[in-house]
Amino acid sequence: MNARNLGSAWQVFVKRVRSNGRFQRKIWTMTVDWVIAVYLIVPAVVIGGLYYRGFWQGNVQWFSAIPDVFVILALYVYVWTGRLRLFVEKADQLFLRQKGAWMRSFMTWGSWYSFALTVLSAGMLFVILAPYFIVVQGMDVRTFGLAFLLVILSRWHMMLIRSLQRTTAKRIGRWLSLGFLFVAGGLLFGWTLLRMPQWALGMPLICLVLFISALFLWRMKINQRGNFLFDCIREEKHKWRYAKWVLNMSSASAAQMGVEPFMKQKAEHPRRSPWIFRQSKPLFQQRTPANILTETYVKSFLRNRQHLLDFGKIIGLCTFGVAYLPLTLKWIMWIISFFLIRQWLSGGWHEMMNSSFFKLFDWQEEDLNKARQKAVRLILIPGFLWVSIVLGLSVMFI
Amino acid sequence: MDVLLDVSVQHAGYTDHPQAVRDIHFSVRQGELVGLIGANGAGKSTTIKAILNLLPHVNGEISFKEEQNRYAYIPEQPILYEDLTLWEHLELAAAAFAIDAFRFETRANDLLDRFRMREAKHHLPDSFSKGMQQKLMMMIAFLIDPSVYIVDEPFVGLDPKATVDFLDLLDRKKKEGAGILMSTHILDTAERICDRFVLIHQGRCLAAGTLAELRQHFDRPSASLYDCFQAVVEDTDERS
Repeated sequence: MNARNLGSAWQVFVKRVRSNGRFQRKIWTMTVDWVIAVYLIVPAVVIGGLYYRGFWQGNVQWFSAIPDVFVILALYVYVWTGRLRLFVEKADQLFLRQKGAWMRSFMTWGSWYSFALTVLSAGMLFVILAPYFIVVQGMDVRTFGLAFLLVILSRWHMMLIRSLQRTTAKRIGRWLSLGFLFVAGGLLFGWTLLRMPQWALGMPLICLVLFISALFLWRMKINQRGNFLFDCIREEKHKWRYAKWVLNMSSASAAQMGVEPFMKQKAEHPRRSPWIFRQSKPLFQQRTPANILTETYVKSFLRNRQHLLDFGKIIGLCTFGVAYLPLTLKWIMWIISFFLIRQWLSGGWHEMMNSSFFKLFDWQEEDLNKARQKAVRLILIPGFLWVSIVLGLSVMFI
Repeated sequence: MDVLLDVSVQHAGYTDHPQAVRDIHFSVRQGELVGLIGANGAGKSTTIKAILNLLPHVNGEISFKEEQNRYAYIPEQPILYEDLTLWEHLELAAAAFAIDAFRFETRANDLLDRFRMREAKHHLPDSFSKGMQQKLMMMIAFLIDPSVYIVDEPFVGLDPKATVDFLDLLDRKKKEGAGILMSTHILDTAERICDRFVLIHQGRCLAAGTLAELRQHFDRPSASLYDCFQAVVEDTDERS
């Protein structure tokens, strides 16, 4: 690759990173009402700041009571959420793909970009967790630094391993390998964080091994062939990862935000039959338009892996809140949980109604309202019930 | 014959191009197949979007005879919902048009056989080829059984057998009194099946009528639709 080409490839990469930044900014600025946000953010920062000082002084009792397994689990979830951004596009197969050097440059810069983001986000996470490790667990600064390094390297590993995964494997094989990776990775990560600090050379040695293996995986990724289309599918998903959440919570569509809608790319092995209600079995005997619309929402919610994962995350967050926060905050969290889950489910409803297929038909307003209320209620009740049970138990055993 | 769809658009278009199409005037009558003919980018799809009220700027009058079940639209690119099976798509469309359960079952099963999609009844559309997705869009349209069918480039992605089946069904609907507006640039097929033509070029309607009327208009007694279209395009390009 000559210097001029390198310059051009770099320019294209930077242009895409900038365009992605503009896209994410546009979604946030158009959906978040900054006046309300300031009213929420300023008090939250003040209260959070006071608590943070309390964490360092060791006088926040519930903070000290958080089990170390829970913190390790949270860190592992963070490690698992790492995604490699390569900024490749499907249209690249027309021209860029023919320039092997360009594609390798994209892979390299994408890896470094993702690594830099990981260092930044892990840095912020460790600033927040510093009082827990240093004050509560009594960790020395060296071990704390090594734990930070371990998290960064583990996350980089997960990014690379998941990015190397091919779609050519059968669905069940992919799921099994992902499941194995999650469990084995989690056990190894937890064991290292819990046991290794006791052995002076243990953590530096593991970090060194992880670093060498990450470099090896990185080289594999750079030289990987035949995964381009799957990289494109993943890239589009990663681009929309947080944007979809924001749109969902604000019940707005991409068109209303003035951005290109999420272009779902066809998977190499798309699922033929849904995993649930495989025979299109009706949920309601009465086949009214409102019931059919309700059924459509419930079925598409249960069939969509991303919806289920996101729902699980919200329920998990609310459960953590009502289980570990101090008594007053538990009740506040319980009320917030109700509105948070409801708002998110309503967002999902609007996303469905804003889809091109639903827009093909003229629906009666009355049917739509009836269906929305019923559908949201049907999914809200079990989720909120779970949060309420956890609240009840945690209040009983306080 | 009753007019089912009357289009009289002075101009219509997008926010950044509000006059993408101009002076589009035609009608679709009962039992008639009207071909909307034009090259790529001529304004066929924009005209259809204007009829479907999907454009931000429409200056003109578009009227359907029927108030209920006015039209079914079959887009060029299939529009489907990834988490619903084929059968659930049909059921949802039936719900939107208040088709009762008995009529739905009868029509939907008939369409499954006609389009040879019974095996895919409980499959998700993501696993379909483009042709199968297009068939599903057609099944939805025929299930609704409207008075007007608006079809955008129907032959793209369809296999020969499905094309013949689709044309047979269109012909049957035509005989039952439906009106069809079909946008296409496949001129030999259009010449064979359409009753009348609306020739669009550079966003304007340049000529409209039966093939005989177009031949007369261009003073070419034995010209094909392709010849007429060529004549009108060359004439306009020379003048501009």
